[in-house]
Amino acid sequence: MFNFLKQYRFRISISLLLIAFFLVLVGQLEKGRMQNWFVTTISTLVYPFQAGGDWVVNSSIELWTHYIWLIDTAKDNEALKKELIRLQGEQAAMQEIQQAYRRMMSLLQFGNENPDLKIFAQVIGEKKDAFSRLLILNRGTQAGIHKNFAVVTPQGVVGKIQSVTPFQSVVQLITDSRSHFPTLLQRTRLKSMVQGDLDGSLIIANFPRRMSIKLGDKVITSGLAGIFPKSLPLGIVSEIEKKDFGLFQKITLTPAVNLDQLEEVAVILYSKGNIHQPLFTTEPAR
Amino acid sequence: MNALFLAGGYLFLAAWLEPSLAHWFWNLNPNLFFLGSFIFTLRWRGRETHFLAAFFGLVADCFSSLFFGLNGLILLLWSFPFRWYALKGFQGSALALPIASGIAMLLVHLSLWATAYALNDTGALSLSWLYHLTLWEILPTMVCAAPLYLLLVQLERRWRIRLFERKF
Repeated sequence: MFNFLKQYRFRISISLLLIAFFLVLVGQLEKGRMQNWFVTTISTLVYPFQAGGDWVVNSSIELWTHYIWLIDTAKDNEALKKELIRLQGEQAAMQEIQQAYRRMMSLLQFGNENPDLKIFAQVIGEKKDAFSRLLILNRGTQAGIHKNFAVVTPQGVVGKIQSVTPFQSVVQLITDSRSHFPTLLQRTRLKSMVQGDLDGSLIIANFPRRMSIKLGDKVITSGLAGIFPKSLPLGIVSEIEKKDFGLFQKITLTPAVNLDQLEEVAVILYSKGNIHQPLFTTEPAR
Repeated sequence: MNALFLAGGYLFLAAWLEPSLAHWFWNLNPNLFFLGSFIFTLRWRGRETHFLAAFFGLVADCFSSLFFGLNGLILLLWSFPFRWYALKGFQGSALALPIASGIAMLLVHLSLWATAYALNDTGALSLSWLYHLTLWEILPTMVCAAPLYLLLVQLERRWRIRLFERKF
């Protein structure tokens, strides 16, 4: 028996191998390719070397392309710098478009939500000197704008039309030293007169001493002067100056609108939801 | 023992490089497992080359999506005619080797396809598959054949492996 095995050991080995292959392949016919310990072992053994080899090759390529083969680098650098300058210009333009788009969207939303008949205008100039705080709009009487019309933004009151030409109008900001208009404290419903002062802030110069007011109180338009429709945000109380004596206290407001960053505004032509129509405003023909 | 280390070392290198070669060198994908078994068979000509071929095939199966064992079986079966060619026809010429390896590789791949097709493990043969096989696998394998054979001869001399000196 042993002699037989020894004599035919090669043929027996090959036959056993073939049978093993046959069984392994037949076993996979139903279940598909099998994952076995042999594959796992070989893959595990080889993986560190493959990863290492890959690292060596990639590092060599990087060394060659980034530190040795630099023949076109200077030219590329010049071209890329020019491209960078061009792209920076484009990016700035795109950012400008994006911001304009956001402002326009805000105005459109305001136009939809606010029932007043209004026209949008672009700020094309501004004048701020020791006495005046004015804006110049690109719309005038041709667009239906007249003197004393209210100028607003989605955030609140901006000012009123001071003068108008067919194609332009001048806005007197609420912080102008000549600006006076009646307002309402939203929380207490107290009326008061808000005015601009020379240093460009918005104040209530003579607020009754005994009346309740707190920092952060909201101030809105009262609609009484016939210029601004009622309930438009004007600002919030940011400072209360109460002396030990006197009949009044001085209130400083922070405007609801950032008047230094205005680019588009709305001019109210006719206030629909307000019985106190702005001065000189007539209902448009239907 | 040195011969075992040599074959094992080659196999390890093949397993290391095989999956990376196509990644590093575009799509060039020489079949180092086939080439190894073929070269060892032609050079050593002994019965051990059948087992070597089967083992090379099994390792090749680790990097294949075909049924596990298919490469092993085909390389084992083809190792018999290859050994016959080694005993009867091959003269040790490094010039004939690339042609022989190209033809052998084509035969091995056709057998692989036929078996896999019979086992319902692959689709029908196409001309584009043959074109791709020839251009990206067979030709690179043919290019590698002579240098690897000469390297094997050099290493045999260095490590005093005398398997090729046997008489059959």
